[in-house]
Amino acid sequence: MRNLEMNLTVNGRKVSKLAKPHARLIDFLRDELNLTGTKEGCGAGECGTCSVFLDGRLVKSCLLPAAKANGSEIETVESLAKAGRLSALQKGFYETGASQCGYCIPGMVMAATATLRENPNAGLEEIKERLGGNICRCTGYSKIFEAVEIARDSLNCSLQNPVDEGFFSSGSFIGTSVRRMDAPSKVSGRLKYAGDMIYPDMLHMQVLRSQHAHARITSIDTSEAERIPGVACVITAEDVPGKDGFGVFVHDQPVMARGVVRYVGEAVAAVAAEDIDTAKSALERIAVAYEPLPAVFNPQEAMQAGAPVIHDYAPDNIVKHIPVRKGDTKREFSRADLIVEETFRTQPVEHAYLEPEAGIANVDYDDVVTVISPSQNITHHRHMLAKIIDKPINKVRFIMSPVGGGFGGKEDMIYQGMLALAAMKSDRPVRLVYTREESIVSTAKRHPATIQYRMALNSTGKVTAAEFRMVSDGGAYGMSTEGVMRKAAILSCGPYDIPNVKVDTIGVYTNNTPSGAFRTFGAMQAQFATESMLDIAAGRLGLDPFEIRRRNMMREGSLTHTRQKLGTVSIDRVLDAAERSSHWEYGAPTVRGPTRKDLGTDGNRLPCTLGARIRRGDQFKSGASRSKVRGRGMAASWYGIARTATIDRAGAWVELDDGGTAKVVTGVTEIGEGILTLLAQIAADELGVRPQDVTIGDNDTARSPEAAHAGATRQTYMIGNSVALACREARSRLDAEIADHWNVPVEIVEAFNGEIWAKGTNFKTTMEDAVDIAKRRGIVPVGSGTFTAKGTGLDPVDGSGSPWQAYVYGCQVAEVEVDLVTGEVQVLGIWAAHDVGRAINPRGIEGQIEGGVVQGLGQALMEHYKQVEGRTSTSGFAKYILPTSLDVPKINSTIIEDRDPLSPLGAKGIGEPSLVPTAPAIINGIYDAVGIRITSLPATPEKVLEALIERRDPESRMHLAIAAE
Amino acid sequence: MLYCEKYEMPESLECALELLAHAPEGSRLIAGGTDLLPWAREGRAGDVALPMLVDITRVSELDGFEPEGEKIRLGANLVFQKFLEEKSLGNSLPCMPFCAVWFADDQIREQATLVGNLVNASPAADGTSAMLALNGIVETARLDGGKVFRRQVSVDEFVMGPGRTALNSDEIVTGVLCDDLQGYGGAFEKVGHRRSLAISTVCAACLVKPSEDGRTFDDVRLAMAGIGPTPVRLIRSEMFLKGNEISARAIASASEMTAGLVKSRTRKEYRSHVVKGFIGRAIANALENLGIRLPEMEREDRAYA
Repeated sequence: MRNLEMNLTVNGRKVSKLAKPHARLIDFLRDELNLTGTKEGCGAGECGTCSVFLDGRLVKSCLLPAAKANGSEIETVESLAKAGRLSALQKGFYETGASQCGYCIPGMVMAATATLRENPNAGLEEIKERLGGNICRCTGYSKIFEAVEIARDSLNCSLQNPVDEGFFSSGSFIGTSVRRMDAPSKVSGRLKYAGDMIYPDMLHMQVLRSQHAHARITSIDTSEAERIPGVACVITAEDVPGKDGFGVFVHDQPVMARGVVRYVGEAVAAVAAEDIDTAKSALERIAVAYEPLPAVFNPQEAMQAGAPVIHDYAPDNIVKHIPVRKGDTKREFSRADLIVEETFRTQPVEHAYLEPEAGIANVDYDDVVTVISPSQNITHHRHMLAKIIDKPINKVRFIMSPVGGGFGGKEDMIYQGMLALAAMKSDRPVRLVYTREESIVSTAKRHPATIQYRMALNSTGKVTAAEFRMVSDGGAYGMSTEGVMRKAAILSCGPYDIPNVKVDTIGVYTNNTPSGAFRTFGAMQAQFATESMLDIAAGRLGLDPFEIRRRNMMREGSLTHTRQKLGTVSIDRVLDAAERSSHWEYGAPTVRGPTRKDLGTDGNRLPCTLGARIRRGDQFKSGASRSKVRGRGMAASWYGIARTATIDRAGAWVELDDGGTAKVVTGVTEIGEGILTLLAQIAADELGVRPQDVTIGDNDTARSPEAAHAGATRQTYMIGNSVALACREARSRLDAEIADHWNVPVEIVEAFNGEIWAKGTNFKTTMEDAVDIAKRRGIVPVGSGTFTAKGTGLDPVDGSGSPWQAYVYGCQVAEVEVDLVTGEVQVLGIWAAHDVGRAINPRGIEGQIEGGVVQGLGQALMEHYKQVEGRTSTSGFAKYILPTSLDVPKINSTIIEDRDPLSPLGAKGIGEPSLVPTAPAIINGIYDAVGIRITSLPATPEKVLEALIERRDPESRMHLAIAAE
Repeated sequence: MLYCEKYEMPESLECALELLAHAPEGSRLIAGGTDLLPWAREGRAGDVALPMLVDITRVSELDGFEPEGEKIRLGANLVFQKFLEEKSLGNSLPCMPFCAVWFADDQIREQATLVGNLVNASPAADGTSAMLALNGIVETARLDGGKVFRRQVSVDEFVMGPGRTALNSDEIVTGVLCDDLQGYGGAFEKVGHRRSLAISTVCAACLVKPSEDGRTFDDVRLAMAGIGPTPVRLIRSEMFLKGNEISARAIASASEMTAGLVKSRTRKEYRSHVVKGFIGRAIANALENLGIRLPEMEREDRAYA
C-alpha cells in the first residue's frame, strides 16, 4: 500500500500528513485532523452531513477520495465562526431555532453558506433547491429556510423583522421563544457526539451480523480472529456473565445471538481491535456454522398453527394482544344507517435519524462499567445492563451523549451491551460507530399494520359502533411492541365518543427486522385508518369533514374507548382553529378539488418545478400547473401524555448557585426537541433568574436523579414539572432567608430576571447578592422535586382503565397537488392546530410541529422499508427515500393552550402528536383532488397513477395522461 | 468502503493511458467518484479492494468544452454543475441546464461528470438521454506502441446495456461531441420518488426548433431513459412532428407513437403512461422555454392556476 502525502490548506492552515490511498476526505478531516464538525450520516453522498468546501466548491466529503483534495484549499464548518463569533448564517440558525438534534446542521450550515455565496439574493425556491442535497430529519426544514432568508436579508442590510425572543415585554420566560441553549455549539460544529469522541488507548469495534433470517448457530469459532495482531478481544454470547436479555417490555433479546439468529442483521459476535480495518478483517476469520430454520415473514402466517416458532415462550408467536371492549357493537351494526368497511395498510418506516448509533464504553477506576451513547433511556438501560453483566446497579453507569436524532429508535439497548462486554474483556475503552447500512438493517422500524375496520353510523353522521382489528408485524424481538399495541388500542378509534367499540391490536413475532418505538407509538397507524374512515363516511353522508367530527367528538365528561371519564377536552377549539386558519371551504369530501375556492392561498408554497435559478419568473408558475389537480383534506387526532397505563415519575435537584446562577440536575434526555432550553426557561421563571444563568446537567445515571426516557411526549410534562417543584423548594429556602434578612413577610418576596424584591417596599437586590446573603446565614438554597403522573393499567379482558391523566388534540388540513401524468403528489400547504396545554416555547413547538408534519409526509408519500424474506432492499438512503427540502409544504401552525389542571405548570406536550394527523390529511386531500382512496401507505407515484387510471377509464386506461396534457 | 493499494493522479492523457495499460488486473479509472464510492457499500458491492485507482480529473486536456464547427466538444472532466453555470453551454445545449438541475444535487454535480454518467451506462441515466437527443459522439483514446489512438462512437452505440458500454479496457473516454443547438428550446422531464437526489423512474430530454413563422416544427429531438436497458430516442414521434404544425393535437398524436417503447422489466405499465405524458409535457415546456405557448394549454392552466 502506498500512502498519500497530503499537502493542503485546511481552514487557512497548511497541513502535511500521510493518508491511506483509499482514504476519503471525510476520513482525513475527522481521523487525522480531528475536525469532527464534518459528520458521516450515510457514507454514500445521500445526506449532506459531510459537506465541505473544496477550493470554494461545496462537495460531499464522503464521496471524495482524499487524494483529490491534495494541493487544495478546504474549508470545514469549523472555519465559519471566527474567534467564536457566529457567521450571519449561523446566527440565523440560532435565532430561528433551525437546529434541533443538530447532527445535520453543520452540513446544512455549509450548504446554506454555499447558497448565499453563489447567489446573495437567492429567493426561497432557489434556497430550497440548493439545500436539496442535505437531509434533515428533525426540523421539517421550515426554520432552516427562515434562517437562510434572515441571514440573506441581514447580509444585504434589508432585514425587516429581527427574530425577537419576546420575554422582555411579557415578564416571564415561559411562553416566550427563548433561543436554544445548545444551538451555538451545534451550528458551529463544536458539539461532540459519541462518534466524535476519542478516549486515550481506545479500541474500535466491528460487529459480525447474521445473513440468515432464522437459523440455529451450531458453533462459533473465534480463535483465528483472536490471533490477528491488533485484535484485543472477540466477544460472543458466551461472554455474558449475567442474565442475558433486553427489551422495553419483555427481555427477549440477547446482547448477541444466543444459539439462534432470528433476523438478518442480528449481531452474532463482535471484535475490538486497534483500528477499524483490523477489526473488519477479524470478522472475516470468525467461523460461524448455521443450520437454517424455517422462517416466517408475514404476521398473518405467523399466527397460523404450525408456523415456525420464533421464541419458545410464545408458541403462538403473539407478542401482545390488547383488547378493548365497550358496549355492544353487534347490535349497532344490525341497525346502522350506514356501514363503512375498509382495510388499511401501513408500511415499516425507518427512523433515519442522521446520527447513526455510536458509543464508547470503559471500566473506570472504581470498576464502574460506563457506557456513553445517544441512548433515549439511560435509566432503563442501566437496569438491564446491570443484570446482563451481573453487577450491582451502582457499578453500571450510563451517560447520554448528545443525541443526533432518536424518534424512539434509540430507546432499545441494541449495542451498548456489546460495548460493555468488550470493555470488560479488553480492559480498554472501546468505541463503536455504526455505518448507515448497519443502522438500517439492525435497528427497529415503525410497526407496519394491517387494520380491518368497520364503522356503523346513523344518518346524522353519528358513529354508533366501530370494530377495529390491527395486526402488526413486531419482527424478531419484542422491543416496544407490547406498548405500541396498547397505545394503538387505546387511541384506535380517535377522539370520538363512540358508545360501542370492539378493538383488538395484535403484535406478532416474525423473522423480519424488529419493530419498535417510533414517534406516536402505534397511534399514527391507528388514526390514519380512523381518519380515513371518517372521510369516507362524510363523503357518503354528504357531510363536511369538520362537521362529522364535531358531531362525534369527545367532550368534557365523555367516556373514552377504555371508559376513562375525560376532564377538559380541547378538540372543539382545535378543529375551529384549523378550519379558520386554512379558510376551509365548507362541504362534503366528494372530490371537490377541481371546483373548490379555498385553494392557492398564501399558506401554500409554490409548487416545486426545478430550475428556479434558470427559469424566468413568469414561466415558473405556469409550468407547474399544467395537468396537475389540487385538493384539500383534513384529519384530527388525539394523544396521551406520559407513560401509558402506568405510574410515571421523574425527579430533579436544583441549587440556587453563587453569582445568582442555578444548577438543575436531572436525568433528562435531550434528543433534539429542545427540552434543555424549556427546563432553563421553567427554572428561570421559578427561581427568578435568567435562562442563560441556568446550567442543566447531567444525563448520567451516576450523577443525576431518575427522569427516565425521552418518549411518550413526557419530558415537558414529567421533567418540566419536577424541575418546577424542585425550584420552588429551593426558592422557598432562599425566600425565607431573604424575608428574615429584610424583616418582611415571606409572601411578598418576588424575583424575576436576576432580581429579587419585596413587593411594596424598597427592598430589592440582585439574585447574586441574595444567594450570598443566604449562604452567609448558613443556608445553601437547594431543592428537590418529584412529579407523578397517575395512569392506571388496562383490564386484560375489556381494556378498561385510565391510561393518562392528560390528553392533547390536534387537527391538520393539507393542500395537495396531484400530477396526472406521473402520479406524483406534492403537499403545498399544511395548517396544523395542536393543543399543547401551555406553550413554554412557541418557536420550539412550531419546530416540533414542522418536524412531525414532514415525517408524516414521508410516511404518507415515499418512505418504505422493504424486505424480501427478511432481507432489506432499502439498506441506504439512496433506496430508503426521505423527504428533502424540495418535498416539504409550507406549514402554518396554530398553538392552542388548554392548560392541564392536574400539574403545576399546565403544559402538556407536542413531540409525537404533531405527526399523527398528517398522513390521513394528505391522503384525504388526494381523494378530494382526484377521487382515489389510498388505503395502503405510501402513496407513491405508481400507486396513485394506477388508482387514477382505474378510476377514470377502465376501458381506455392508456389515454388518461394524454387527455390531461 | 472502496479500498485501493494505490491512488494515481496522472496529469496528462499519455500518462493516464500508460498507467491504465500497466495497471494490475481489477484496477479502475475514477473521475468524479460519485458512483464508484457509493457502489462499494453494504447492500451493493460491499467492501471492494482494488489494486489501483487511476484518477483522470487532473488530466487537463480532458477539461472544459470547446466549439467545433456545428458541434461542441465536452471534455471528460466536465461536471454537471457547469451546465447550470456556463451560460454558453446552456445556449448551445438548451436541454442541459434542466437535465443538470434534476441530476443528484448541487454538491454531487460539482464532482460528477457527464462522461462518467455515460460510462456507467445506467438504464436511468439522466445525462445519457440528453446526449442521445444531442446526437452525442463519444471520443476515446488508447495507447498502442507508445502512440495515442483515438476513435469515435455514437452514444447510441456506445451504451450497450445496463452497465455495459463499447469502451475497451485499455481505453479512456476523452469527451463527447454533440450538436450545437443554439436557438432550440430545451426541456427535461423527470419523475422519481422525490425531487432532489432522485433516481429517474422515467426521464425525458427534449429539444425543439420551430419554423421561422412559428407554425410548424422544424426539428424535434426526444430521448428517454428509465424505460429499458438503455436510454432511447423516440424516432417515430420525432419524424411525425417534424414539419407538422405546432399544436396540442399534433403533440397528442406523437404521444401515441410509443408502442413497444418501454422494455423495462418492472413497473412497465406505469412507465408507459409516463412516457406518453412526458412527450407532451417536454415538448410544451421546450416551446415555453422559447416563449411559445400552445393556446390549448393556456386554457388548461387557467383551470388549475
